[in-house]
Order: sequence, then structure tokens, then C-alpha cells
Amino acid sequence: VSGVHQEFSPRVAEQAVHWLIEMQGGALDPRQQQAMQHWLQAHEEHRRAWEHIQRVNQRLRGLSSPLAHAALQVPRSASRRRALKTWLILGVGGAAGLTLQQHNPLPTLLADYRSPVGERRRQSLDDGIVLQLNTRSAADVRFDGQQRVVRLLEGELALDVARDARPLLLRTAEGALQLDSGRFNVREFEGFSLVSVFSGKASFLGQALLPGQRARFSTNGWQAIAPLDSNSGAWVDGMLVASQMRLGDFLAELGRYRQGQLGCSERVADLRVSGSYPLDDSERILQMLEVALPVKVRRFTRYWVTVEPRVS
Amino acid sequence: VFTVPSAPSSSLEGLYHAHHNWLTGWLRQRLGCPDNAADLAQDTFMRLLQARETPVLNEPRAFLTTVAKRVLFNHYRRQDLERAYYQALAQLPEELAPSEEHRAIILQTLLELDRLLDGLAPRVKRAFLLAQVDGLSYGEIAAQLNISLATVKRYLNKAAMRCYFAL
Repeated sequence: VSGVHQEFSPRVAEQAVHWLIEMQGGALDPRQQQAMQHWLQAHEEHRRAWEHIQRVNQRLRGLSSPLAHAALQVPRSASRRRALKTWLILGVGGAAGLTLQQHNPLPTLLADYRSPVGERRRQSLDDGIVLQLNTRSAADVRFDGQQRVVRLLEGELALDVARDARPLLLRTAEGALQLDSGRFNVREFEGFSLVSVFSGKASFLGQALLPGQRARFSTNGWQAIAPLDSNSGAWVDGMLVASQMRLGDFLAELGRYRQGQLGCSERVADLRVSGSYPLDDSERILQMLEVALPVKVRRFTRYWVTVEPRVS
Repeated sequence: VFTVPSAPSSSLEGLYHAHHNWLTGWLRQRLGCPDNAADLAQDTFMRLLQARETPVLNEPRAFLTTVAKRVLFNHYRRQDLERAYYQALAQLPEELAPSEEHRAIILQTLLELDRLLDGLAPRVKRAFLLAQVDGLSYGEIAAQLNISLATVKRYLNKAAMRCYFAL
């Protein structure tokens, strides 16, 4: 369990925790905000420590509240108390802070561009290329005299590629795509990425995906080529567009933009959802669901929400 | 000139051959379960393998039992936590029960968290969970635990240093 946290000095850890406690206590006043920004920018290690905390919090918010309270408040059994004595004598050597999620935390933390949960980022790169990151996403950018490479590390991005002689390579976990000038959307899944082409073309080993098409991209090349649907790339305009989408899928999609857990009971998972929903206010989308469908939104905690059948 | 006939007992391999069966027996006496004893004996040697250096041993069995006690403690701790976890899970209404896949992740996170927060007072842990898992405000936590805002902050600070940085 070698996490990045081991690189943090106790002093930086203390400062980062200080800011966490302050920020969670309520909005910072302008002076504090400035001090926080100043601290964050003063050193690369500060920024990494801060992001480490955010990542761990992400994981903590995915916990089930009753399970967490039950498990961590359990009294020690007698046998455990006996063994504890030894434990104390030996000390908790080699312990490390809570680690990050399983997949490759390091490259994401050190990525050139990142977007936190629920936020989108837009970045103009050289050569008239515009990179947009969807919620919880990260990308690296390497442009030099020879080539231009954008690497999607996590999440989803949209690229607008202006006309230029040099090729643009888009790297995902599965391989490298060549993008000719146009507009593209790429989202990373487990084991494949989903590529959508709005204009221009995306090629892999000479095989091209054309405007109006989307497909899964894996080490085997293109699979399941299909026409674009109304939700493809809608996030760029801050929208989630559903057309007869299963409620279960809809909530999974919406959950990407929120902290914590969002799910539903099996009994309502197959209900269908249609419409355009503004992503910036996911609470409002949940309220709208209660109006449109026979469901009730149950807020167990702020970070843990489930949609259930409405009992009338 | 005499040479030592078997592999030197200070090497891990030598230690394993000379004492593995004995250690498994020692663990079985404490656990009353042969399967677990074999697993934990294995864990004990794994722990030694991961240690940076093998210490010079005058009393290899005393050393092994010291490490094995630590492994044993982790085992009990895990058992306690898992029991509490599955009990709580059984009591959850179906809508609130996490998916199979998610359950494994939750349990793993809780085991790690438990290890990191071990030794803190129950109310410190509780304050931390209320803040980071439940998303309660400091005022709400203060009211629930009947403590002052300053104490809430102090508790959270303490738990956060452990949880995020193992300090």
C-alpha cells in the first residue's frame, strides 16, 4: 500500500488538515480564502496533499453510513483485547494513511488538467485546440515540434481540433487514436473507452470512425459502431439528455456529477426517463423525477441518496 | 572444522523450514481452527518477507510468536469488524443495501479506516464519520455528541491526521 501520502511531510499534512477543517466548518471569509489560495500555490507538495485529501474524502463519501458507524464503533472482544496489549507494545509500525481508489492514482493526481466532481473545465491549448473536461476527469497534454499528444487519464473529455498539419494523438488506457481536425468526445470505461465523432475523423490503425458515429475503442480496435445519440457530448453544454433511458442508468449517469452514492431500488430501476436536464443542479433533477415518475427520493445522508417506489 | 548442517536459521527460508509446523501448531492452540492457523502462519512469514531486513535471531521462536501475535490481533480485529458489518448489513432495508460489488469496496475501506483510527476514543471516530461520511455540519455534530464546536474541530483534526496521513 504505497500511497502518495508517504511523500508528505508532517508539517504539510498538518496544514492541509487545518484547511480542510476550516473549509468544512463553513464558507471562508475573503482573507482566509486568499490565505488558502496562497498556501495551495506556494508549493507543489501543498497541492498534492490537498488533492490527496479530496480523493480520500471521495472514498469516504461512498461508504454506507449505517455500516460505517456499526463497523467502527464495535467494541473489542476479549480475545482482541488480549492481543491488543502486544499490538501496543509493538507500535503501529509501517502504517500508512488511507490510500486512494484502486486504479492508478498517481498519474491522475499529477495530471496537467483535472476537474473535480460536479465541475467542468475548459482549456485552450496551443494550435487552436480546445480541451474540455467533464466531471472527475484528468488529462495530460504534451505538445512539441514533432507531435501533439493528449492523454485521457480518467473520466471524459471533449476536443475541438482546428486544422493543422501536425497530427493530434489521443491516448487512452487502451491505445492511441489519431484525430483529424474536428470535434470529438472520449470517455474512459473499465477496459474500453467510448469515442464519439461529431466532425472530422478518428482513426486507429487505418480504420476510421466517421462523423455521426460512436464506438467502443479497445485494444482490438473499434467495436459496436452506432450512430450518435442525443446525450453524446451534451455535458459540454451542461446538459444530461435522456431518451427513454432506464432510471437505473439515468441515476448512474447523474451520480457521476455528485459526491457520494446515488442509486435506486430494483423495483423502479426499469422505469423510463426522458428529457433534458441541467447538470449544474442535480438536486433539482431529483425533485423533477419525483414529479415525473411514481418515485420518492430518500436522502439517507447528504452523500447517500436512493430513489424508491412512491407509496401512495 | 564444523559447518552448520541445516540452513542458518536467521535466513527466512531456514526459519520457515525449522519452525513453520511448530508455529502452525502454536496458532492452532490459540484459534482452535486448523485452516485459520495455516493461513495465519503463512501471514506471519509473509510479514517477515516484507520486512526490510531479517533480524539476527537468538530466539527464533520467541521472535516468531511476537510477530504471530500481531498477525493474530489483526485477525481478531478483522473478525470483530466483519461481524459488526454483516450484522448491520442484515438490518438494512433492501433499498439501502449496497450492491455486491460495492459491499466489498466498503468493507475494505472500513478495515483500512479502522486500522488508521484505532486507539482514538469512540466519540472522536464518531465525530469523524458524522463529518466525512454523513456530511453533517459542525453544529449538528456538536449537538449530536453534546460537545462544543471547538471540541468538534479538535476531534476532527485528530482523526483527519490519522486518516489522511497516518500521523
